[in-house]
Amino acid sequence: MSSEPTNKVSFHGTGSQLFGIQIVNLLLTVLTLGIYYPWAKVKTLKYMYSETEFFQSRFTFHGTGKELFMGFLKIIGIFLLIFGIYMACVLSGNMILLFIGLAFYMVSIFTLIPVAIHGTLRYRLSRTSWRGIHFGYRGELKTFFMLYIKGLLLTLITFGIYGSWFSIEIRKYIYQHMRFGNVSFSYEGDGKDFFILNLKGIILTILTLGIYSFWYMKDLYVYMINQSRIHQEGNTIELKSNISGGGVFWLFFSNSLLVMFTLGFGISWAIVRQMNYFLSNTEFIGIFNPDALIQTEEDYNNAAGENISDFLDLGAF
Amino acid sequence: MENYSFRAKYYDGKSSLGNDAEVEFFDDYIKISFYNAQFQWTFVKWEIANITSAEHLSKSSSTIQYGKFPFEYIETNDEKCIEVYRSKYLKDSVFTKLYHKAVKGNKQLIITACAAVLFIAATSYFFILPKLADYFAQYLMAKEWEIALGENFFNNITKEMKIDSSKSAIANEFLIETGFETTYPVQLSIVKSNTINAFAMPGGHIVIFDTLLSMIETPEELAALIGHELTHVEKRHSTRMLCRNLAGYFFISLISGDVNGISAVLIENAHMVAGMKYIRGLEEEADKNGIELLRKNKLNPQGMVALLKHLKSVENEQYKWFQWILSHPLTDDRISYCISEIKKSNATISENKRLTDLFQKLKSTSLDEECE
Repeated sequence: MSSEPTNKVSFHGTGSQLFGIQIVNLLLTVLTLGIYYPWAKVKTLKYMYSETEFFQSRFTFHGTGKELFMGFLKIIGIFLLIFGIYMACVLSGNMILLFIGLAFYMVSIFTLIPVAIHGTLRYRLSRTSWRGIHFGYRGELKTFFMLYIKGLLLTLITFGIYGSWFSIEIRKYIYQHMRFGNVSFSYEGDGKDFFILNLKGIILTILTLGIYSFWYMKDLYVYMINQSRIHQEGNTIELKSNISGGGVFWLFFSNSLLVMFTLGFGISWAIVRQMNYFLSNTEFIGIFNPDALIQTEEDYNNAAGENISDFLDLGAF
Repeated sequence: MENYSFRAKYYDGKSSLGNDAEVEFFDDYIKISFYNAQFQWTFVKWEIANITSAEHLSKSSSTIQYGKFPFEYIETNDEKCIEVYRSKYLKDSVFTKLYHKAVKGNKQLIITACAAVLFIAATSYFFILPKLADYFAQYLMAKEWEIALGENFFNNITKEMKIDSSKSAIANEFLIETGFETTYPVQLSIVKSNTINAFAMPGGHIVIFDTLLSMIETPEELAALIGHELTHVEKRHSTRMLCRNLAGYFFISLISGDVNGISAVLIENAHMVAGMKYIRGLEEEADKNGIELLRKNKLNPQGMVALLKHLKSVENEQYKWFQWILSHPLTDDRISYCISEIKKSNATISENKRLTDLFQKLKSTSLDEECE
């Protein structure tokens, strides 16, 4: 447990094993006309978690297909209602109704996003453990919702400029309310720095006809990781990512070829390569005692938020 | 038989401090022995009925979890322990066996699964789904929906176009005079454009471009064109096409969640080529039914052939090489099947003075001022 940078997180999965799981998943999902999807998702998550190592121990995903399926049933009604109203307005052929329908649809989706983020965090973190110690999320939906709506409105009013401050605020709130037993987290990012990073990224991406986007993506990811802090019994542990723009470019380029020339079947190998690249380039700076975590969090089994995220394709993790 | 035993890390669910433990499988419980914080050799007993999971999805790490939240838990790199556990205490479901085989890389299973997935996906995408969508559009979709949808499309499309209202009015009178029967509120619109084209939308809107109209020389030809487009409306061709495409997109978005965008694009293109063949079938149906409409209303069915010959005269020679891809059948083919269709039965033709007059009026009316 030195304070020297240590690489204590690694991924041990292989493309062929993941492929084995995903192909069985796909087959069962197709055969059951999609009903098997929640169970398939759990299998993949369990595998990915069990192959992710942190201080010589693996993570565990405790979620079940049944929990996800029940969550799915809860929210499918909401989505059917939203789409139903929207389609009715579209088909009415009345211009005013069309605009009302569109506005209703946009507002519904935008208000569902914070609900989905909150729900996903609560469920997913509660269902994640390491050495038997569970993660947890203690954020409050009402506070988070207001924070989100306020940020969204300010972003709209400022033509997107406030967006950088908005995402930092959101991240800060989430990190502050995450728990890993008695270990807590914080995010030290700054709106102004993040705005400059975005501005530089967007301008250079346009000037280089998109080539800089890989370096921009790298900057965004590094800023997310490097400003994260882990707090354990008065000690602060900093995170550091050593990925490079060239590395991200090569990963993206080679993975695209891998997936393209295998008609999609290579996706399992692409995922494993990506996990390996990002995790093996993550360092922890500071004193972390892996033996000193104490269980603090409660059980939580409502997977509805996780399902909204799937519908909205948020891919929060 | 000796009980199976192995080394593992034991976590009590209260802290992350692991204990190096000796685990032993007995018939109705698992015994976990370790040195506790006071360095005393101690043990816990796990009742088999209260074990919540025993997993080894990962090859290099297996876990067994016990009790209620927060769980007690052992983690081991002993590769055989879960296998022994499962054979001793559990009857594995078919699903679990499948996954364990798949993770171990059972070639036969993986190849069979790949083949089955590809087969099911291809069959449903190319055969089952289009058939279902087609059936829905043809028999289940309410006519009111179709009309509302077509109205919506028409309003959107014609925003960019200049409709000649006086010519359109005459064309609609012409339509009534042909006597063509329809169950839709059919509305003809003559639109100013340099393109030679005409098309029908779901629910009854038919658009004819004025360049095509100026090429037409007899009332029978115009009746043939209207008959062709009317068939598209009456037989719900556009609606069916739309439903097939939507079903296709839906399917792709379903699988692209699991596969990815690029292969979706590849499949999409394959679908387009297959779809073209389907459209050609619809065009042929429209041609033949158009002839039938002419015949029924005592108009000369040769009008269809004359119309196609006019199209032929402006057709670019190079299209010949793409016959299989092109949506409309090659004009020569159309002409020949129309001729044989006409030969099938005799037509009674009677002169319709009013139709001729309307046609002359349509040809002589100059463009609306706003269309100039």
